[in-house]
Amino acid sequence: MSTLKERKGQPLLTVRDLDVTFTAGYGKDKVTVHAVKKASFEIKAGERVAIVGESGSGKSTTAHALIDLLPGSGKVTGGSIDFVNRELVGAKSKLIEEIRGAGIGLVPQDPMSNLNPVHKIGKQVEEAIAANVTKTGEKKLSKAELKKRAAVALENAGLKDAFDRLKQYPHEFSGGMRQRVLIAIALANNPNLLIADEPTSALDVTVQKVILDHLDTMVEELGTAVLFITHDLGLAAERSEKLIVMYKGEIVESGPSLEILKNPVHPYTKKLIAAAPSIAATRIQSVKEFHHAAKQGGGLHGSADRRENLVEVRNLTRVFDIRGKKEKLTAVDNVTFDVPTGKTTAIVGESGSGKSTVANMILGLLGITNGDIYYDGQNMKEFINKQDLAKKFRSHVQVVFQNPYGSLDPMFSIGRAIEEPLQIHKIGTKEEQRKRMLELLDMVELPASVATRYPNELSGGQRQRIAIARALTLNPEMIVLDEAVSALDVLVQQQILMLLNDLQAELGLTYLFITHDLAVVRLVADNTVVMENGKIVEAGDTETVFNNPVQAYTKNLLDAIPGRNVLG
Amino acid sequence: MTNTISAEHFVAPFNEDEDVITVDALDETAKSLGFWGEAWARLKRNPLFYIPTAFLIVLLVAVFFPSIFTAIDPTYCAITDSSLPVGAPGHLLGTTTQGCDVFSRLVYGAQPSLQIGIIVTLLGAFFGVIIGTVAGYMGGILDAILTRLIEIFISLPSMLSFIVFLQMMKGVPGVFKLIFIFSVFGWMSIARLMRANVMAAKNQEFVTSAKALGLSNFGRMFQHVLPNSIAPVIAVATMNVGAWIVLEASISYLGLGLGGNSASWGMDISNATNTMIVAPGMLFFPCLVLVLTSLTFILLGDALQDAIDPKARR
Repeated sequence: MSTLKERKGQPLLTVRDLDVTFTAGYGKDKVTVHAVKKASFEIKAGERVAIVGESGSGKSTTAHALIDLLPGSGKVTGGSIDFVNRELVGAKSKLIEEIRGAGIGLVPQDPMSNLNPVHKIGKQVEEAIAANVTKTGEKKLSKAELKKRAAVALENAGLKDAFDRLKQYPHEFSGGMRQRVLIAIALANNPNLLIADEPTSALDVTVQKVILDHLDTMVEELGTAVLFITHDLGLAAERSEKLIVMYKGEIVESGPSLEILKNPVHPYTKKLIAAAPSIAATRIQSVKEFHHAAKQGGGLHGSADRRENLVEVRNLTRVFDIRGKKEKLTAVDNVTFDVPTGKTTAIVGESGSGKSTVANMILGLLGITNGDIYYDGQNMKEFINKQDLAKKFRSHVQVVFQNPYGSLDPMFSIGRAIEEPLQIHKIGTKEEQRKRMLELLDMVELPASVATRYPNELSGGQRQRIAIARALTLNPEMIVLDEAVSALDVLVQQQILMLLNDLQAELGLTYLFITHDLAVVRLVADNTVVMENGKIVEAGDTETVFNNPVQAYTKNLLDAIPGRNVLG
Repeated sequence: MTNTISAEHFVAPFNEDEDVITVDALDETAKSLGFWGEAWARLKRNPLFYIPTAFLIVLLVAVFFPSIFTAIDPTYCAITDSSLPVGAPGHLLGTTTQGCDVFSRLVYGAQPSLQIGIIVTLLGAFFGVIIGTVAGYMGGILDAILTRLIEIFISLPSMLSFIVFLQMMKGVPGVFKLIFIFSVFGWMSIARLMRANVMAAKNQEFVTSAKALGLSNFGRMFQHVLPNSIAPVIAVATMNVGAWIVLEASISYLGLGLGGNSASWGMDISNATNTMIVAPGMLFFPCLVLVLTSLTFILLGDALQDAIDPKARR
């Protein structure tokens, strides 16, 4: 359709003073949440606009309000949405249905749950096409035509052998391929506007880059306008001409991307840009000093000197049996590296690279197939099965997991959760345990009143602080941070990273930082180990790895960090 | 601000002096309740909790202090008072063909019904929770054996077993034979529920995290996995009480229940069927009480379910 391109620059979607409220409960318990307050913005034909904000900022709600996809308790309570001279607020459901798919397409967030697992890919693409052809005035398509169109749509979305792909089921597709299918479905009917709701948040960076690049070329060709919804400022700036920054349901700043990035005016935008890890460039420095007194002396065997390398991993291999299959999966393949004492070592890799498997073996949570891990000079094989030494080891090496909602027992009050390690190791009296607990809360900058609360009453960032406090309870030598900040919003993420860094400086902690996020590595790691398919691709100090990557894979990975080159 | 701002650049008004952005602020005024506290608070707000609770209290009073409601002995029957209608002097709900007081029999009938319902449920829950937890947590060969055991018990014809066993024990009076045979078949659903919950809970990160802290296998099972798996059992078990009471009535209807002249809703229903046409009240009242009691536990279980897992409903 050439008309789309011809219209370029003309107003397509105009939103004025949009209000969205959610209600929960009934009677006197009724709670009304104003999710979007007086939002106004405009999208011109062919323009790429991004709404950026943290979780709860109202960015997704705004997008969903546009095509009336708000969940049950949400309602547009004011304002107007004008889409090519048609008012959508209060419009009949017939009009909205007409616009959905054909006028405004949606690429949903999670490729894993947005395809129906019981239907073939072909059926799902054809369904979307068939539902929309009649809206554009065309006559019904024959089965063969429908199939052909579906194949073309998949091909356009970058899936090869499209005809064969149509016969496959979603589980035969990787996350990236599924996202391509969803993009194919959204663009199959040449909508004027495409809403992409965190389209690649669930994917690895390299896959994300390929898909977004492809999406860029597609919308360029078709002249489709795109509304990105994202929490990633770097991605937003890189992929769109205009930025809309939302905070607590309000648009705090909007305008040309580069201008906002260079001259943010609103304090929130300023803070957000300062915190965005993809744009900041060097390791966080701490002003805190190392208190030698705070350190418990001695390693596993009580030697007072600290070794240069706390952990040495030698030729480590881990093989998994795959249920119902003969061949085995080598998750970690002959891996050798050191974790220097008192420093942060990052293991970076995409999903399936084996980084978490390495971490679990170092934690002694997973058996070793081949090779050795030396902790404080001691071969782990020699002590992990001896009860007293293993217990001592457990007090030396602690872990903080990714999911702040899963790593704290919902039945335990915060105070009890932090005291638990002391109880397990039978350290101190009840009062001493309590004193230590309050001390730790203070260390992670939370008030003492938190002790009586429960995990579900705290935010993700606060829970992650609790998890850190808990990990610190036994004065460990090392903390393994398994994607510990990946689930957090940027500002909270930055706060936690600063905290971790201060604690490291103060307590002389050794960190093993497992992450997929290279931008974060840059902020905290002294050394970086890059893994791919169970093997180490590149290792060295962070500056060298980032500035002079040797291997092609590392370079790819670095190039894929969104927003890395926006400011040139 | 020395920077130039283009026409398209919109900035919302803000107050520079105020610290507009506090990252991840903690609301210190919020009340803290914990899991069970919150469940209780939700339960208290639910009107559907009070209706069954009120009826349950009445039932419990009838179980422990039946003389509050009636001065008449349920086993005292005077043939001269046979088949009196509802509202007859001294007999609020009339009498049976044998001349026993219907109301008195209803009141005293509550005792064996609730005894059986509650004790069978408690025993079933106890064994079900233990077996389910061990199977789910330990996994492997132990899980395989226990799961087969559960399946075997489920596939046994329970109703037939009740009839055969109780037929053999017909001479023995009392509720214990009923409690025993019901309990033998009363643990499987709880065990299966528990096993599924435990399997989900044991893979949660907080359990791994406790392992990394050095907590023992049993410590993890009892301190973390069990408390996080047991809540749904409470709701299901509550609903089961009603089911066991109905089953007791059914068995008594067949004449295999308590035996003798003891008051039992099931036996009253059985006796009343012969005279259904002439004295429908005799059939109606025990049926009504039975249905209300069963409904009480179902509603109570439902309210507990909502309180424990409010998201499931929406």
